[in-house]
Amino acid sequence: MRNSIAVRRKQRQLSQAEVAVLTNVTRQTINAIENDKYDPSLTLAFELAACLGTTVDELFDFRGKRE
Amino acid sequence: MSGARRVVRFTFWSNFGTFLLLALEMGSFMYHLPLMVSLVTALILAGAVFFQVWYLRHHYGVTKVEEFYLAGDERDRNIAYRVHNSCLYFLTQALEGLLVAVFLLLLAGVTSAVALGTWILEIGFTILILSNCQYYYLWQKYDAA
Repeated sequence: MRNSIAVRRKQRQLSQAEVAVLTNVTRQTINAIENDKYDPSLTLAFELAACLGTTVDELFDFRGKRE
Repeated sequence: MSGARRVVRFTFWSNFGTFLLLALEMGSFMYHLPLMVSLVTALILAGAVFFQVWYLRHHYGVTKVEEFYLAGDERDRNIAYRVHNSCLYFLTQALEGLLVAVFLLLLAGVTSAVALGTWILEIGFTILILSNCQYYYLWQKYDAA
């Protein structure tokens, strides 16, 4: 699922590793989500949104889901 | 490289080493090698298994033996589910194949218990090695995807 995690993360000057620590996942998972290779669970999506100061709806674009 | 990937790599190679020792142990019985060879191999095998457990505990923090002990987060668990699913499917098919192989061997006139046991061990050993390779390959594949 396409998302704006990388953009918002950079706006907040956070690294993938820092976001990973804040959301209790590995850096590889954050990287996979940013590159549209893994769709996070609902819980993780909410945690990411909270961590980046936004909402799930704004962070993820369901219409941009890769086939 | 993620922690889970490191554990999978270590487990793959340590299992591979264990299988080689197991093959030597089996071979020493099948080909009537001196008892000392068998004894030394058994001791090394036990040591290798203890070393594997010790290394996993001290270097990778694996303290519990459970299905997803290597999964660091939900993505790792997702990969583990898919890999385990594929491996279980393969092992089920392999078990069915083993039963068919026993039936065919009996039909082919292999009725000696020793010969039949040797065949079963060799097929079972091949299944173990293939399953180990499949686990490693699938984990790398799903982790990269």
